[in-house]
This record gives sequence, structure tokens and C-alpha cells, in this order.
Amino acid sequence: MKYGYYPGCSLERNAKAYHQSAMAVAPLLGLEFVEVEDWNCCGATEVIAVDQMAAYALIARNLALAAEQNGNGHLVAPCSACFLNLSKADHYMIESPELAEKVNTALAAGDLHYEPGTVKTSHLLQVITEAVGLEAIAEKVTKPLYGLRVAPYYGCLIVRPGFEKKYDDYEYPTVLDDLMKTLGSEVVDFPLKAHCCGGHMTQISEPVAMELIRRLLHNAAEYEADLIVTLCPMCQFNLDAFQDNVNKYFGTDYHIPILYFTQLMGLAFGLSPDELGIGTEFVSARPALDKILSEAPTKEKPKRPPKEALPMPSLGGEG
Amino acid sequence: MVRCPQEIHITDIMYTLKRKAIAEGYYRESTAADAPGWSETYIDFVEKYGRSFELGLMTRYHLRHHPLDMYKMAPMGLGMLRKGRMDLTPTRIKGIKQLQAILNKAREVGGEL
Repeated sequence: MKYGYYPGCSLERNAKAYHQSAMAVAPLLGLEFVEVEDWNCCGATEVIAVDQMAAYALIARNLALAAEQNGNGHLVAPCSACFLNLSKADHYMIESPELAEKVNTALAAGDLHYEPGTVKTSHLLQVITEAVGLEAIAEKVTKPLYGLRVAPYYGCLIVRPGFEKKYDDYEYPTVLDDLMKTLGSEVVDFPLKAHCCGGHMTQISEPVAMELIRRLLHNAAEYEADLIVTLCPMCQFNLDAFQDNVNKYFGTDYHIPILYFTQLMGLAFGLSPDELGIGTEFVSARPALDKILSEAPTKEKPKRPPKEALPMPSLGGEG
Repeated sequence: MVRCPQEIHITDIMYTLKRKAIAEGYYRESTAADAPGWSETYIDFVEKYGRSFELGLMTRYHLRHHPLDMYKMAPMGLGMLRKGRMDLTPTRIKGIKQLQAILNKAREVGGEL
């Protein structure tokens, strides 16, 4: 299966481990990703906060290039913000011919044109879980992640607001949970799985960002997760690179590694940590990964206690 | 939890309000008064290179808005460089002139929808 690939700015450098691991697992799943040539920034949340038309024009240049360069018009974005922006611009351009016309007037200044609806954008997780599917993934697992307790973190943007297609749930999605179980890991309950990581608030308002990050780390620690698995470069960055800041800010002592789901897929497929960019995280994942067992942990069946052990209320007297 | 039955995308309404607050200067009274400064610095880099440039963005933004907080960011910035997670120089796309022409036209067409 061939897809256009829109890496986005983060995957070029900050989240290069995500790019590297996505590119390492893709061929094993029969996926071919062809990078959109000369793509530009999607605008993140910044451009649209200041200038609506510039924001849509910025996004639409990428859609126009993707449509021009890729035959089947299916684009994959590993970054949640890029995925949202690309699908959102397309959605609104389909919905409003007036917007489409204005955006195309802008694109025409660069000799480009975009016909709304010609490029379908999916998040990388969607392509992997829907187009490839869990059964095909299970067949590729050679080194299951037995014993590893994983907190699946979705963040906001792939589940909400949901322009292209609704995920299984706005607040409590389970797609990534299922993928992690397929890899053999143990998935812990993670009630804050679709809560915000703080985005760029780390730069704008430190107290807000610190508290949002702290909650997530605390929640994962409460459920005794060995690591948090994520699908967004912003979420990875905030929870990983700012974990030390959070510990200093609140006097806490969290050491929870944050990995991308593609890195765990690669490990389960037998690839080496180096091939997957493991080691570029701030909070080292090595101690957590050392916990992976070679065999499935045997779960002891809870024995039924002998009758005489039942906590019968004592009535006093002879009993 | 209840979601809007009309499927109104609340975040986009928030963006509209944010743009209005910035355009009319109300943001100065907000607790996130630096948000427009951050956004504008971000946009400057995207417009100049076509892609985000984290080192430049963080340095310029903090120098302008939080010069005294630079020391808090320094260890993380060094960590980013050491881990190979931050570039020292920006990447410029080939079609930067084309992108600038598109953005200028977009501003000219302008308007809220």
C-alpha cells in the first residue's frame, strides 16, 4: 500500500525517533511512504490563531502538492497537529465553496490549485490499525513485549474534534490499547489518556503547562505503568523533555519514559533499539525495556479459598 | 460527558475569539498575554523558511518576552542539542518564494469566514 507522507517539522529533528521508527516498521507491514516533496509547515496552532486565511493557504499548499505528486491521493501524517490541520482545511474547503475559492486565489499566486476532497489525510495510527489491521500486525510479532506495563496516551487532537472520521470514542479511545495488547504488552487503565499535554503552553504560561504534564505523569504512575506510549511529537516532547522541570516545579520524582507506538512496534518485530531511535528520549527507556520478559507471564488463577477460610461473622459463643 | 449534538467544533470558535482578541488588543488583559507574541514569532520563522525552526523560535521569543527565564530553558535546550533533537540552523524549503507569494495573497484576500 502506497501513501503520500507528510512528516511535519517535528519529525525532521525533535521527533526524528518517530520518523525513524515509522520508516523502519512500514516496509514490514507492506506500507510504502513517499514524502511529499518540498512540503511546508502546517502552521501548528499558531498561524490560525492570528490569521485564518494565511493558515488555510499554508495548509492548502501541502494538499495541492500532495495531490499533484501522489496518484491515489491518500496522505499519512504521523503528527496529530499536522493530521488535524490537513484534514480540517480540506473539510472546511469542501463545506464552504467561498473559502475554497479564496484559498485557491491565494494558491494561484504560486501557480497551484487544490480541488477540495481530492486528498484524504489519515493519522499514522489509523493507517496502521485500520489499513494494515491487528491480525496482520500480530503475525509480525517475533519478540512480544511480555510484562511491559504501558499507559496508552492519545492526547487531544486525533480524537477531537474529529473532522475526517470519528475515532472509537472522544474521551476514552481504545485503538492504541488494542495495538499495544497485540504487541504482547500489558495495557494499564489510563483515565487521562485523551487529556491535553499542554501544547505550547510550556512557553506561554509555565504554571498551566506544568500542572497539565504533572497530572498525566501522576496518572500513569498511579497505575504503575513502566512507560507511556504516544502518537504525537508534541505530547512526547512535553512529557519527556519537561519531566525534569515538572519534578523541580512540584518536588516530585517521576521517571516515566515516553516512547512512540512505532518504537514499541519495532521492538516487538525484532528490530534493535538503535534502529528505532531509542536513546534519544530525555528519560531513558532502557530500565523499563529491561523488564520485558522472554515468556508470557503466567497469571495465577485466583484460588477459591477453602470454606473454613471464608470470613464468616463471628456470632460469639461457641462459633 | 455530553458532546455538542450539532457537532459544532468549539475549538474553531475559540480560534475565532482568539483572533478577535488579538486584533482588538484584549489579549493584554489575559493570563496568557504572551500567546500572540509566541504565535507571531512562530509565524515569522515559518514565513521566512517555510518550516518551523525551534532554536530560533525559542531564543527570539524568550529574549523578547521572558529574558529572565532563559536560564530555565537553557538545560533543556542543551539536552535537545546533545540528543540530536534540535538543529542549529534552519531548513529553508525550495519553494519559499512561492509560499511567500501565496501567504501575501491570502492576506490580501483576507477576511473571516
